[in-house]
Amino acid sequence: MTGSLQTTPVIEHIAFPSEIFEDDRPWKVVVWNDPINLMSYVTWVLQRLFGYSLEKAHQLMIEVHTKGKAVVASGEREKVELDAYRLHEYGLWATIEQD
Amino acid sequence: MAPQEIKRIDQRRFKIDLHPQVRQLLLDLKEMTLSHVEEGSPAAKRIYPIAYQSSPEMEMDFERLTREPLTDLHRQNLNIFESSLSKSELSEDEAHAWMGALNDMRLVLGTALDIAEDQEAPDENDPNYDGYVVYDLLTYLQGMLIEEMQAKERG
Repeated sequence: MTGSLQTTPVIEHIAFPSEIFEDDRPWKVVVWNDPINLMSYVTWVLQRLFGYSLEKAHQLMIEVHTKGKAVVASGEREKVELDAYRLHEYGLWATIEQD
Repeated sequence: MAPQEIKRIDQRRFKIDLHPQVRQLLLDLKEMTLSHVEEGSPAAKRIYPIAYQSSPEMEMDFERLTREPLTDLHRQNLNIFESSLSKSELSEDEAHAWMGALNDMRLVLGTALDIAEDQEAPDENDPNYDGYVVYDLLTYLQGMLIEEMQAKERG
């Protein structure tokens, strides 16, 4: 990756309770099933990017393949944006969702 | 029996043995893929996935930050692939670029061919028959590269 992945600048403002609540909800990276990416490739990428064991990466790949999608990582918004970007570098169909 | 096209030699090197016609075909595919990636054509839609499906505003911010580095990365992989295509040995980094390049070629060609989940064997009378055969070749090479990259301990 060239350059750094910046996050959206946060404009200072008074946070209302509903906004605080909204910000606290965890973010997730979801990988979707795709007819082109090879199953072995998806497993290889998950191992390489997240350091998952072959078993865990394989299990997630099977979930993607059979259920159509799987949550592969979660955390703060900045972190999941970087995770999604890195998955996009490998051509995986990754989206960002909030609970 | 023909020699295996891609084979790990040791922890750092891979042996490459491609037929000259296959190399030429891959060179053409690389050029085609790169132009789709740089133009952002419909066939390159899988190169630029939408991250925020439910928020166009967040997606716009995400795309603004990631589009250029993403294009640069894909271009770099495809160019390393091209410049190392005639070599008989690849480094681990070159092999990694090959993985990205082969995947990009499959994503673009597969999208253009509208490959489905349970794709049937290509029919010789199909006007896209040649495209399917090339797609299968890319699948074969990428599958082999994945196996060899995972075979860390061989050598």
